[in-house]
Amino acid sequence: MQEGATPSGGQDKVTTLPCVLQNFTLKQHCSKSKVRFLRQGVSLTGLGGNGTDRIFEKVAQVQGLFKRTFGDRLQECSIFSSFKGYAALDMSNRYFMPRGDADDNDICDLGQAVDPQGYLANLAGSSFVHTVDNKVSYYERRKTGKDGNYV
Amino acid sequence: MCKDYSLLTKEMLTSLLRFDQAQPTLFQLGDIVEVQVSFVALPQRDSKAKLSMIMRSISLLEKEFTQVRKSGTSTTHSPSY
Repeated sequence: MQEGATPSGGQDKVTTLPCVLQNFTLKQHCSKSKVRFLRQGVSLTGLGGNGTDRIFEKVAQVQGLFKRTFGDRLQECSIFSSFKGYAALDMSNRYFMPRGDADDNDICDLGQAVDPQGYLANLAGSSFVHTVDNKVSYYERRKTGKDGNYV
Repeated sequence: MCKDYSLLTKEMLTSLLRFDQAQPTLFQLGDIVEVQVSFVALPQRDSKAKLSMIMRSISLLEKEFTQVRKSGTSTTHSPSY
């Protein structure tokens, strides 16, 4: 992502993609001046399994929608990558945005689970804030019995 | 478009599965996961734009394959759901 880019513009609907977690990283830069680029991201691959092609086709269709809107102004995207010869998808979300770009009502804490020692919050200082737009939710699917109790 | 391939949607309809909040440290390489993303065009220099996927949530669907791989047994084992 180039410097100066902000998460705005044509935002499409949220969609869901079942896939294999190939990489789960905290892409951290050393310099404090790069704190706005700190992000958490994943790379997903289907390892060529059934239905994988359909997922990538759907993503390509979305890319086509944006291409129709932006035309030649749409640069080569960084969504598609590869893992050991298999197609993969990269996605991420920044931890912070500049305080001046954030709505006060959207500012929230990173939370104990994400930043237990407060290192990220210290790094952000007062110039950058974590907002609902930067929030990533984590869930675990669990099986339940017919009465709603855990099996 | 979402309903075409979402395990989450189809299986939640059976009421046999539920999604609980989890710790980010739960996730490991090789896990079967489902993600929710936003497709966003990020403005760049010279009126250019770049398409990105912004991660909104990640759900652990199945970790059995990861556990089998780590234990060194066959990877042909199927999950029980």
